[in-house]
Amino acid sequence: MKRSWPRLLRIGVGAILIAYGLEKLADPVAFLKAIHEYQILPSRPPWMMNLMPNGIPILEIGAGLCLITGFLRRGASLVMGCFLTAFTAAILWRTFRVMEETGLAFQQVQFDCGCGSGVVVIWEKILFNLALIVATFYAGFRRTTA
Amino acid sequence: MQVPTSTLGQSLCFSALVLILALANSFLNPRALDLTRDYFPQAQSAALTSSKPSSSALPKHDFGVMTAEDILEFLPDFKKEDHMVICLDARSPSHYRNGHIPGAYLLDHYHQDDYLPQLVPMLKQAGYVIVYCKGGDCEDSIFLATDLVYHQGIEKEVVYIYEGGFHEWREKGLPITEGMEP
Repeated sequence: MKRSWPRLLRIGVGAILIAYGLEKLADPVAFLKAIHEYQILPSRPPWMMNLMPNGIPILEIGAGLCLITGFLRRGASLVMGCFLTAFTAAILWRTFRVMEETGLAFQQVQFDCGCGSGVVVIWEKILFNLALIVATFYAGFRRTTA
Repeated sequence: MQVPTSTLGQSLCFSALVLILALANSFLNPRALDLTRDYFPQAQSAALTSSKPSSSALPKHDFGVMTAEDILEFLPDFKKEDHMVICLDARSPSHYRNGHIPGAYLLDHYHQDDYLPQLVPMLKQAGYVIVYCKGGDCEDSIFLATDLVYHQGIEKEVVYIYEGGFHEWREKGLPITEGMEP
């Protein structure tokens, strides 16, 4: 059991990423709207924003498969971990904007972050993402027998 | 082909694979979004910057506004053959199927090409074009109206937004049609 838990972690993180990717792939419009709400990416030229709903699900599914199978594991983990870090920073940035606009306290802020789970309590989502970032790097770089 | 052993090499290889698959998804998947289309068009009118009062959560726009009561008066005209009054539902087909304003045509803002060829000739002759989406902070009706005016050549004066949207329509207990037929 002690020996197999890193592999279980890889499978678990991979499964979460694949589930997120499939959800976004099924409804690219909802994800596009969520990205638009961040007001980070310019809407012109359009491809900059439109490539996100077409590409990020592929990134998530691909990283999930790589973590599970071990193919390009470290590379996939590094790219996915960096992406998750940037996305979490964007969530935090939008949270501060919402706080400024609405006067809500940090722990009260809720919105659809485009993470594939609808409207969420943001501090919980940020904590979850931080755990997922650590797990993604750990699953990618931890030496395993697989 | 050898799999790179360095982390940097693997990252580059993985990124290249993802990019190729993302582009393939963009061009081959019919559900994927069009890379070249601006889904959030901004009206080119200077009037947009004016401080037009609005009671809704929607951003400012320079289209005429219709209320549920106005639409109720027009309701019998929606199905008339002369198409002088046309109501457009900017939501997705699944939302439309679950219920829409009787006589409203489906024109999903994010997949306009599927519907525009049949509707544009009618829209160009219409005296009133009423556009709605979910309501609340849903902006799709404004984006669709902007596209109709600035890309399809529909006169701006005939385009109206029902800001309350389908949510308000349902809340008020007004008539609803289910299915894919207007």
